[in-house]
Amino acid sequence: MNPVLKKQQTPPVVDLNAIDNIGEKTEGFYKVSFDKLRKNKLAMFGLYVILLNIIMAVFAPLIAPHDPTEMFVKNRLEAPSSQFFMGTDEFGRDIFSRIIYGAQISLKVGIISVGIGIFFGVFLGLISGYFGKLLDNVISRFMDVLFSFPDILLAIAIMAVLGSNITNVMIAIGIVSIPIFARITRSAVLSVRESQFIEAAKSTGVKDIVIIFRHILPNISAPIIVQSTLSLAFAIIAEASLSFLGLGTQPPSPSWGLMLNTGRGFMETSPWVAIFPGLAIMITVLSFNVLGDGLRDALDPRLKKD
Amino acid sequence: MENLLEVIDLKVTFPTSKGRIRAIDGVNFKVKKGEILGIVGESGSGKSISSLSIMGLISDQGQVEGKILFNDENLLNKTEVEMRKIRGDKISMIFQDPMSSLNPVFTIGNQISEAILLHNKGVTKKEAVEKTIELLKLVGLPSPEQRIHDYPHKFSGGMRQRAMIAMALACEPELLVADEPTTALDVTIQAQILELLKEIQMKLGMSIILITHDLGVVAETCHRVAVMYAGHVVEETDVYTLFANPKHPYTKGLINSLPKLGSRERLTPIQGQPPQLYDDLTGCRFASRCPFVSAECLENEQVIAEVTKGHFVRCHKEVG
Repeated sequence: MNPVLKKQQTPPVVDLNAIDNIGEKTEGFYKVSFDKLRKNKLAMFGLYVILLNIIMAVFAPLIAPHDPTEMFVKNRLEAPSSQFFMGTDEFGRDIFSRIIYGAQISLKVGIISVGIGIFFGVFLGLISGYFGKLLDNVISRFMDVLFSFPDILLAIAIMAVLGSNITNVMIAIGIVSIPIFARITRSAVLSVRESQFIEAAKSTGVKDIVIIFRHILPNISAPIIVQSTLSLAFAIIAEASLSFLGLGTQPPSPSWGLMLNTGRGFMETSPWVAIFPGLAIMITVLSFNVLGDGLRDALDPRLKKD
Repeated sequence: MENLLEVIDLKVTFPTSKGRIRAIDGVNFKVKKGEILGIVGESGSGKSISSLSIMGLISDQGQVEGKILFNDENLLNKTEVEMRKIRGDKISMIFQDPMSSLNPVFTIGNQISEAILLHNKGVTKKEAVEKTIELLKLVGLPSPEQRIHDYPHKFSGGMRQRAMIAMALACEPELLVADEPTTALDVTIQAQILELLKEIQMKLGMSIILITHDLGVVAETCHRVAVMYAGHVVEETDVYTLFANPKHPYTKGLINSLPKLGSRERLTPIQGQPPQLYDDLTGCRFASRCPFVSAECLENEQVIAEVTKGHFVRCHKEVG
């Protein structure tokens, strides 16, 4: 026990169970922010569409009326009907089912590649922002080099080196999204690092590594969360673009970008083959973007308006 | 009484584009066990740099020379790992601005128990929470059982400073460095916090270094005082002597510029500005503002010397 307490004459008895029951915990930062987000109709619309997307991806086998690779040879390039809600493609595959399965690919690529970007980007940003000096210079200049390439071009270059398959798509898009996370994290760390509570933590003898991950990281989570949603939108577009160019997922997998590419050839005769995957990409990306904007407003304490 | 901390000829310099700044130039002071030492001085006189050097928290550009003996061990020879064990455990610090020295994303209880868990191996979380509540009671925070679940933004300035003091006391340090603990608080809260510091000092028998620019705070709280000016300690004595019989012209000037209750006389400020602390300073650093300046003052730098027992002054006039 702490000798501080022994010196007191009557150490008050504290029932710890009673403390837990006092409950009524303070509303946390995220609860307050979510309440603010809920008032933003556009952002909530984005959130619902994304949730719908996730449900579609997870329960694809239950929702889709047909197998995404099953070919109805007699019904090739058929217009939307009650049997095929969005028509069929040149092999007679049901476009509606393919779009539902396509959500799996888009979300998987989005989440894993943004995960790669966050993991490496945030780590690099944290150490370069916290330690500064030479380390910061080396990391920041390397990120500048990565930044100087147009995103899609860099992804194409990486795909060309790694070869085209879905794993490499995720790696390529992941690498492309590292620098933005590194830069955002670094600048946020720079402002938090000088706060007095970090100095106070140092003065109680906390290690650097604990300061970085326990004291700084939670304080800079807001910009990282916002950037994640925007990067998810980028990742989905990038996957579609790579697939459209034939560098990403390979046929017959139902990637939206790939479907858009094949539909291009039938635009005049059977426009639905291209329009529906295009719409799917557009709505999903738009949803991520409006959600990201909404989150930015909700998480920024300076934009408080009641 | 035994010396807990002894600062000997401490020099801290920082490189700038215009040359080296001598932020602290040969500072000596002692803190005895169970004593409250006040360090007073205006902005830039080196008060905070002194305290940061004791904690070993001077930024990497700064060069620190001299000796800081804590329990007869030189803190400046310690490695970063050794210092980390001392910080918070043996020496802890409270900062000027309680509004920004608590991490906004953790609850108060979380932050205080972290300090306890950090330096006491084998303490369970539950024990740490229990101790946190005791500490918050000790610093007079009402209903700490509920309050430990609160985030810092729910606390007022005075409550936060109490929480900061509780955190600093978490491991029962031998020395508490309080860097202007009351500057950001209003006067009534100031009085409460100072009263609390005195009370805790008596209860726990630790030593406190109280850094302030407020002579009123010094008079109320401290046992001994070191007056700093432009990187030097210009006068060091017990608090009664300082107010009754100040020797250094700067200390006299400071006391003359204090308002007195009931007096309608104009205050006499000290004219001029403190010098820039570059390498090329010669003579007494207060010479340009000193009403008693002589040719000797401009030429030679006076060292600090004992004029009467326990009363140290750095002035040609007084020491001769």
